[in-house]
Amino acid sequence: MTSRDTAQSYVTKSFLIDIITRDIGILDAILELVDNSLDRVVEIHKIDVTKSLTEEYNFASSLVLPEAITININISDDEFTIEDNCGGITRADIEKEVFVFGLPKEGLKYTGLSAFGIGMKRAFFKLGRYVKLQTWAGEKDKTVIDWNIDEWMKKRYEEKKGYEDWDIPFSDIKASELHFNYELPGTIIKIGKLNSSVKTRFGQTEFVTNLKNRLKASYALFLKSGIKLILNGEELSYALPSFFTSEEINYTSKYWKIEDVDVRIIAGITPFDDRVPRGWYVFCNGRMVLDGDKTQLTGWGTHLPLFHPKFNHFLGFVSFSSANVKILPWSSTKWGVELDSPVYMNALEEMRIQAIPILNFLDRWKDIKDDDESSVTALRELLGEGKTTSVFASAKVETNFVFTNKKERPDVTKITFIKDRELVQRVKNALGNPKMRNSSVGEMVFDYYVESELD
Amino acid sequence: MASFEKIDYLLRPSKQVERKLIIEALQKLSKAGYYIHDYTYLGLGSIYYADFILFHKYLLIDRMICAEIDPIPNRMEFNKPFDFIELEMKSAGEIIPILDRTKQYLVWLDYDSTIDKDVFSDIRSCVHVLAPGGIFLISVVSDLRRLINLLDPSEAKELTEEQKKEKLVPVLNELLGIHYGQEISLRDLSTNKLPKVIAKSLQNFINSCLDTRDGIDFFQIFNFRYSDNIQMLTIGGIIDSSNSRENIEQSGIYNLHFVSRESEPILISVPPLTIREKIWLEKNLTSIEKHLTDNNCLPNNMAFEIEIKLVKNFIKYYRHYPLYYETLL
Repeated sequence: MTSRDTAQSYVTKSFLIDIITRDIGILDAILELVDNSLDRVVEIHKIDVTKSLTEEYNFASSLVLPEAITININISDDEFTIEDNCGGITRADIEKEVFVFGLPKEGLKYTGLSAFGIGMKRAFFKLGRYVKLQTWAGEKDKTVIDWNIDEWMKKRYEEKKGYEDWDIPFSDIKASELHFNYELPGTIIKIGKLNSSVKTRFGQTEFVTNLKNRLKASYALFLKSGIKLILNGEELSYALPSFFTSEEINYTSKYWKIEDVDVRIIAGITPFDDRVPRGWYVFCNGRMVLDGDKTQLTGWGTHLPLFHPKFNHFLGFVSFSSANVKILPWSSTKWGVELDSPVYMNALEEMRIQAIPILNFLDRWKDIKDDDESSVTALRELLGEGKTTSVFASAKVETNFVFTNKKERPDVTKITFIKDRELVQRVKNALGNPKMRNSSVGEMVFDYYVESELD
Repeated sequence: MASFEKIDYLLRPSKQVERKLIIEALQKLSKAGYYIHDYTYLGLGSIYYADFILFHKYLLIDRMICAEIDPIPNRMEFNKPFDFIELEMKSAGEIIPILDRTKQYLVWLDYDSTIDKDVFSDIRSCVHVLAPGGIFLISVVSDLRRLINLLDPSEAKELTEEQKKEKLVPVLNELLGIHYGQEISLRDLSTNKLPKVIAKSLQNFINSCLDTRDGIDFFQIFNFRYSDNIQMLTIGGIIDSSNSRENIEQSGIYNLHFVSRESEPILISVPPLTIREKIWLEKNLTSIEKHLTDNNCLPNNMAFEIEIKLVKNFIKYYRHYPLYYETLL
């Protein structure tokens, strides 16, 4: 064996696949593929779904399109398919970029969803061992790739012994033979030879339901802006909570820019009949990355008090938007945030500042009634009839959270304390009613102190 | 009981000296391009509005917001010295979010309570929202007798004073330790040490709050401690871009003897003097000062008995020394 003057150093395919699929769930992998489709829509049609947070917005209204922009996902026991009419991928891009690991597009001019240059590949690996990708980027620009991952894993260069050949050959299928179901250019990806864990999950009703909910949440703003998302034949609809507003109460809406990122915060309270505990909803380039978060990720228990049922009606939206996708605070799986991101740290302060008056307010009306259940009634009593405002219609201008108490209302608070049972009984006896309620004892001794000690 | 019910705010001589020192320093800042008369003053109210009156008259500020949380809107409205003061019956935490991020503010969170989680929260909010050039001051009670209230009252009621102090140590470590940067011990609770512990904690905390604002620093100018019965601590300074340092230094503000960048607070001490004594001291000020510098003792011809320490303090603060007369309206 001839000696070398360098130490060999390289990455093996199996290591890479193992590493990049390790910290991503099956759900997130599927969403990566949806992100890829939507990234093309954003690029081609210059749409900005974050607008739909603050106004009625349908991106298609200003475009002349023959059909709705659609992403159609089908999952079955043996195959995963995603088909879209989002614009397709050019052959040039496939040749040089799409299958390179970790080569995010540079100098983007649009607020895209493709951030790390790894998403699509790791989704493939996560889901199965066979990928057929056929894409049409307009006119005659059609490409098809038939990728048997197991065979590809074994591929090595003949001439450089030991070095793995990473290139993926194009399929022999002729472009003219490819069939696309939509009028607009797009991509069809079929993933077969599903990994065994994927097969199991795909067969579970719970998994499909979870996937549906995640799709609805993650792409709520896209759905609201006119994108169609279909899962196993069912067209998904967006579901985002609304704010309660009235003459006396309004939500806060703040907008600012940090580095290259546009940040918007909208926060307030939900209507009394919304019984879902809310929290913070965080978006990056319109893609939801946190869904009703009540954890430290959005400052609960660090910047704010710990989440508590009395804050169930708190609702906040935070939107980050930038063409520089790398500085957005999303985690690499795009489900979660990077707490150390300077942009996020800055926003977290503002979230805290805007939330404090709202939490103070919720804390105050909580005091009026004894138990959590009746707090909804208490809120209704406190505020009177207001209306439910889909923020999205009116938060374009900056507003402050206001609560103006127009009617006279009792300004009261609650005291609870624990005392020795026998002592309490003796006080009851002394008060002349051994069977009186504990709360009455408390009230009477309090009144006694007020009368005897206060001016 | 709110502190305004215990004492007429104007009759807190050390506090009054503090206000005047703040005014003198802020006036000097105009040399560095901080035109305080264009600022909006945000203060925590009291029915006396003492800071509002002085800041309007001597800093020429005419945009003022007063935040008050006690449920006395009519009394606050009635006692407003100027109609342009905007009275907000809210806590600081509720006003800060609505401050205009493009405007210059002078904010003085002058609490009559000790430091606690809410105070930290308000500081954090202020430091985040103030536009570069903003001036931020915070005053808190730094008196052991009041800090004891941080203890759980049911736990504390049976304890001796010494035991309470011991119990307070872990409570303070929990609250301040991370900001102070060292373990707080029993010895740190002395009257002279406690303000420094709190001052240093506040400084570090303010600086850490600025981590989220790239290129913005806190330039401390005030670090006072004083006592009108209860010991107080004030930290204050300018929130501005990191490259303002030279500019601020060139204004000469750091030459003022009561301005400090350090963590050791400057003691404001106002000797109790009769009007006659005060007038005599002022009339002989230069010669007394010279004698003190040359001989480190008082001249023999002092008209009355007085400690050298008190005379030294008087020389430091005589221009700001308040005089009280009875007024018949």
